[in-house]
Amino acid sequence: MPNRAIIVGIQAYAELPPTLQGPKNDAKLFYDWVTTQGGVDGNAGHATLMLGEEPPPKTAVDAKPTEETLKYQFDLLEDEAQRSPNGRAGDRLYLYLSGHGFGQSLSDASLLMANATQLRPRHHIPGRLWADHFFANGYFKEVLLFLDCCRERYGMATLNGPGTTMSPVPPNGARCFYGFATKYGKLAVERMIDGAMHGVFTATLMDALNGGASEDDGRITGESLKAYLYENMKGFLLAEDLEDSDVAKEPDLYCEPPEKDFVIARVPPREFSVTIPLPAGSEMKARQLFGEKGGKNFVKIADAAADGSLKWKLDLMRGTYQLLLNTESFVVTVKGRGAIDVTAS
Amino acid sequence: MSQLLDTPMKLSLTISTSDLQSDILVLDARGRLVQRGCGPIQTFDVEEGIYRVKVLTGTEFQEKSIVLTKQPSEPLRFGPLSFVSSAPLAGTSTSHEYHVAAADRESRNTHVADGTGSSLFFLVRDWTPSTAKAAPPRITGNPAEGLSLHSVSTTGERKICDLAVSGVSDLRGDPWAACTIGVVPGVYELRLQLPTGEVRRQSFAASAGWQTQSFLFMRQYATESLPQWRADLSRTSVLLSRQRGFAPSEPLLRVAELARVSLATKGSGEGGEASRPLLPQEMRNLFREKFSNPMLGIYGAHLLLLEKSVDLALFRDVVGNLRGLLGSHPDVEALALRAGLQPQPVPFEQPPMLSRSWSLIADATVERPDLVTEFLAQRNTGDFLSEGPWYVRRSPSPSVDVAPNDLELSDVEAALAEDLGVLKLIRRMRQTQPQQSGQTPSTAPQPLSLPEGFGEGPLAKTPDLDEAVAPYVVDDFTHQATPASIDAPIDASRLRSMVAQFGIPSTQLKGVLTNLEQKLNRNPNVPNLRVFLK
Repeated sequence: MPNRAIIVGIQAYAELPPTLQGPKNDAKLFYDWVTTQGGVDGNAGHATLMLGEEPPPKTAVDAKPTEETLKYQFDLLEDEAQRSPNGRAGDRLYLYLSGHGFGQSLSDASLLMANATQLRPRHHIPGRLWADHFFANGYFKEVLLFLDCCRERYGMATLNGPGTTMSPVPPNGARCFYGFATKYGKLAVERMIDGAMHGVFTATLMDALNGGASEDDGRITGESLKAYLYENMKGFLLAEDLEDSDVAKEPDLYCEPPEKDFVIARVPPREFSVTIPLPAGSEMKARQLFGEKGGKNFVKIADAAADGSLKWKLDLMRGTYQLLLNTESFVVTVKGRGAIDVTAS
Repeated sequence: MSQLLDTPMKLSLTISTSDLQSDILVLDARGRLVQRGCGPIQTFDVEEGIYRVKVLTGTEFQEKSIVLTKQPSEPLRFGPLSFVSSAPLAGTSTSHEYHVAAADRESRNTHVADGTGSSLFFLVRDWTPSTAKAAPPRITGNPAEGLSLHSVSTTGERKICDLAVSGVSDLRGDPWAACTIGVVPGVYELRLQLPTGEVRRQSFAASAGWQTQSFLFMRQYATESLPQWRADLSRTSVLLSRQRGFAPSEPLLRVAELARVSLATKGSGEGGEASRPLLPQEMRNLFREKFSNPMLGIYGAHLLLLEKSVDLALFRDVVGNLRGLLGSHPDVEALALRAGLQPQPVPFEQPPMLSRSWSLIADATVERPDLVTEFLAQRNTGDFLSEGPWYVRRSPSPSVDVAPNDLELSDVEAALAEDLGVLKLIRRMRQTQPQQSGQTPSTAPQPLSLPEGFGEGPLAKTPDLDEAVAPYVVDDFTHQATPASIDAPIDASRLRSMVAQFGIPSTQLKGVLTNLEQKLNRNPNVPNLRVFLK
């Protein structure tokens, strides 16, 4: 059965400042990924991209898309599943939502739709409730939700959900991965990345899905995606973000176990060209690097004789390695974008 | 035999932390989670390799890498970590010495003597990192502006004081305001009036012989012009002290505060590991030894309930001990509903402090509809908020929330209408009925107007429902169609789900359902609804 995707990006709200600059870029990036690497046939209309209007209308009541627009898309999928002999609307569903948002509970976050205002936050879509609806009722075998929005605590009850008649136990073998840009109560931020404005969560997600999170054999699993996102999101934050206790340093992620068995995509692993700075005085020391490779926990990755310099250039996957300079041990961490840390071990 | 030879050698990695409640995560070289546990000391058996160990305390974490090729001779040690707390406790990262001194001093003074037997202490303060001092200061008024304390009972309602008027404050540095009110034991309501006129109400229990100490940060609230700063109810820290006066270095207060952070940040099944204990063994031992800090007991009892496998014997011990320490207290009685202790809790006339306590009460009303008195039910007719771990009610601003017309659905009614399939049916009817001006019926979605200049990629068309369905206002549904009728049988299980989702006791929820039924059935243009309560 086909994979489906619903992707929403709202960056200019009629009555909800400030105007964002990342959601449109991010939604388009994600749309491009799901229709190329994510297994969704865009030409068959299986991917729905909904962007807010730019500029937005003068008043929020005229702004689109609204929660009704999105709920109608959900209705269509639900109807399709209920008409289908096997009760499914597809194999996999991607939900990607980006814009202003809030957190109404520890387990969920809501995207504020284009018609929301500061005094009318009821115009929202709770992401996880809907993802759970499609997951637990077996309308899809796999459900992936990515929500790039703030999770400030709002004085707002959860509305616009799918109802309370959800099956408590998902079908056997069903899998889900839910990614929120922030923990409950924290702010998501957008920053200039590669010459364009992006949400830092989505920028990290796209790096991960384009090979950053691949295992040696090219599988991006629930486990490797979580590991990549937890480790690398803060790499896009500014120093002031890192000091601000309200700004999320890590995303909030959930994957139905067993996480390593959920293969999200197959993308060749990305290696980073790194230059390891060697400590002063080690110019004439032989170098060895140990770490994980080919499914083995701890093997020699590379070695080189001393060459009189304090730099060692290598192509490495993300990860933590042991650097041995003769018998002196250091820890080298290669992060997603090739930044490295070297610390004494 | 060969299997034994192929088995990788295991090494013991021991981690020690300074706090009982620290979470310990052992990650492999690629950042995958290998094992996790709790402080203060934990040993993991892991294969030879490179690991990163993360220790999470409150909302902060420390991290160390270790290359494990032989058995380490010493534990990997993590020192105490300063964490964010609105209580200016020793070892937190958001305290100035002058805040600690103010809390210590002012909690021992009485600013308002309304009664004897108990007292309530409030400290409201701003906190900015030293690197982010704004000029001019972001808060120029009294930090307690908009806060007032009220006594609310069946015999009437009385304002006790405005905290900004009756207390003391200092606007130098990061400003603070403090107020101690002597009261007779009971439940009191703190009201926060926002710049928009909206009022938020939070309950505080004052127990005989105890001082309830509440610490609040500040936050910005949106207004139609510039945002304004007021107290932040969502991050309140509440501690109890037998002796009057705040003790910033009392070790158990740090344990209690970390337990509150756990309650505010962890849910059942958090991180997909529902079977993982939320309460470390050391804390369980603490509870078995007849603890003396009641807030720690209340937070801990709720954490026990969030675990997949509840240690019922320990839970009963904790609740029994709390009853002995505090007497009648709505949060303790809410916990007693699950403990099955005698005497059974009597109907609740006052709301609890914690939102999880309210959930326990609301859930129990499915079996005991009289558990929430009419008096309490009447006080909870506004919106129910979950402000962090606290149970906060919202009274709408009269200038903003105009009275709805008699067919307009409230937020909760609209949510129930969605739940029962009414709104979905309306959306479907919209798509299949004749359009205006004699257009032919169409099931084809109408195109969504897209932003100018955006044309890349094939886009699925989306119906322009915004003109068709005004959210929650069903009386503008002017096109004639034959509305279907929806039968909604609601048994105890579904009622319980609805009570849990909306946080509304069963009797009130049934009333909302009846109102919804009546509104829909009075409107000829929308489906009729028939609710069958089983």
